[in-house]
Amino acid sequence: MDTDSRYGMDTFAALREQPAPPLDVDLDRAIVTGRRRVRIKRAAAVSGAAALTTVAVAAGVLTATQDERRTVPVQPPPSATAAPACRVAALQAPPGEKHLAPTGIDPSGRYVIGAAAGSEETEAQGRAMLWDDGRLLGLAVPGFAPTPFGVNASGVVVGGVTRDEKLAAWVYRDGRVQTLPAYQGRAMVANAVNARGDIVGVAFGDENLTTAVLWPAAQPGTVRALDRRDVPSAALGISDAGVVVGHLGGGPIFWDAKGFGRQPPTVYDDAGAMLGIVGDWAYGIAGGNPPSIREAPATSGRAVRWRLTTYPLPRADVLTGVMPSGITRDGDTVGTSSRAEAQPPYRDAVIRGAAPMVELAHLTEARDSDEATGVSADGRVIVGRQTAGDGAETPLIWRC
Amino acid sequence: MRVEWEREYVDYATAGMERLKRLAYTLCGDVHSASDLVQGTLVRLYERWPRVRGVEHVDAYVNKMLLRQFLMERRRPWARIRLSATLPETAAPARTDDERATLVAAMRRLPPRQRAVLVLRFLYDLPVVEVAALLGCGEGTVKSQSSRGLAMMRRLLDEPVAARTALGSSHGH
Repeated sequence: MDTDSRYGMDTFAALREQPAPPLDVDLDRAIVTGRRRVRIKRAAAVSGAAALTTVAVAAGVLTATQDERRTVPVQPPPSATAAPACRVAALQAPPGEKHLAPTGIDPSGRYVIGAAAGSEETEAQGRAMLWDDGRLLGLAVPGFAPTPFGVNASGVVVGGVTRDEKLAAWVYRDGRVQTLPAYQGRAMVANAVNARGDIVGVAFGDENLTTAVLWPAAQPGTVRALDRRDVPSAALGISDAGVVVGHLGGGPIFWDAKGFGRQPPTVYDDAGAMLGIVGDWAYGIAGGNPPSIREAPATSGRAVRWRLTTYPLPRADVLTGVMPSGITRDGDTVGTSSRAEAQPPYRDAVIRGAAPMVELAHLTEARDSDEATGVSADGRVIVGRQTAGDGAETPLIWRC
Repeated sequence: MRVEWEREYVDYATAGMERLKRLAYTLCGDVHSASDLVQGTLVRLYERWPRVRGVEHVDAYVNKMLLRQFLMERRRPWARIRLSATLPETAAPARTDDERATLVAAMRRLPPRQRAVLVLRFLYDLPVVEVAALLGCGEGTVKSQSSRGLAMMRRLLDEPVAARTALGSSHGH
């Protein structure tokens, strides 16, 4: 055996014979979904795939579910509290595009950002998208899988793209896409932009060291680290007042408008991250794996919100039942239900604040899940996506 | 599906559940993604069971389904971005001395194909030729991915855990 193989065998010895931790897997649920998909495929085969309308799919699902409940011992879904004041609609999508997902929304609710996925399998390059009052624009960002992560109320969009196997941060401003300067020549991603055009993000360094960075609007063409020590950090959000949120050393942190880093109260242990900020409310996760790129919704840890103006320390509230992806200026978060139901729909888009969690209306019955990925500052516009049983994604907008 | 086939499916899935969970968790490194991966694989297996039940090596077939889904899941735009970075994502510093947690955390920092190659070769003891068949690539690719993955694991496991710092005094520039 060569040296490499010996090292591999020795290294992975610790994982041998180790059981997996408890996972949320349910065989009954798999059977229900499997039966439903088989029925949908049969219906499609009979009526012709092109003629299979949403109505026909929905009817097929309802029939299948009723049949299956007679034979499979699964729990019916809990009665949901829908938000009657929020109307849902599909956002415009290019014809034939089946993987288009909003990634965020500006505080005013006018601009929505999203991306059509790139794929190694199909060699599709992917595309960054911007909806302006519902009208869809493609952003000409060169490179593979360009993805917007932040947008402000003036329609300035920031994000990341892969070029020559290296990440680059970009900004779309005044109808043009520009590459943002790289900190020390590193791979970069821009995560958020505030009203005056300050942009925050992350630099990926050697030895996997990430560094939180700021591109200040007052000094165009410059970038600086928010903390220069050799501790992993990332900046994930910025308020209009210039407060930056993110993580440092594996725990949540915010840098005030003067650049002073402060640790908010934490929950359980010191781990987590602040993921976004609007006004004096921030949201994030306690525990879990702090992301360096803004993901929505957060998929690990427990949801937490902080009110940063509470004296002498910000207040931390744990929000059960939600994987958060955005917050309003009143402290309500939106996101996705953290608990998976026994049968479709497994998860729903939700609003979660001080009041009990509210489920957002859905576009069709035939869906595996809904997710909310962003909310305007006043909470009146929410964006997200619906994932269907065949994996197709539909971009959604809720107006409340 | 015929009643007896569905019974076969339930028997097979029940017996193989722990194996699938273990493989999924080792690949994903977190319980949420691993849960979705196993659940999705079980659904696809149900859909295909009338065909799969007749194949010679059902376990290998199901492993392949799970691996393909694991690699496909990384098609989401922000997931793809992280995959393409030279050093994609900083995993949380290991917060326990447990060797297994450290290993899983280090694995999460590898690109998915490298992760899959290492798991199949060194945890499941599969020869290069079988790994290549499972992943749908050449043997040379498996060897190079394996070599790169091990080199990265060496670096990750040798590096000191970043010391946490008193953040109250930290400030920017």
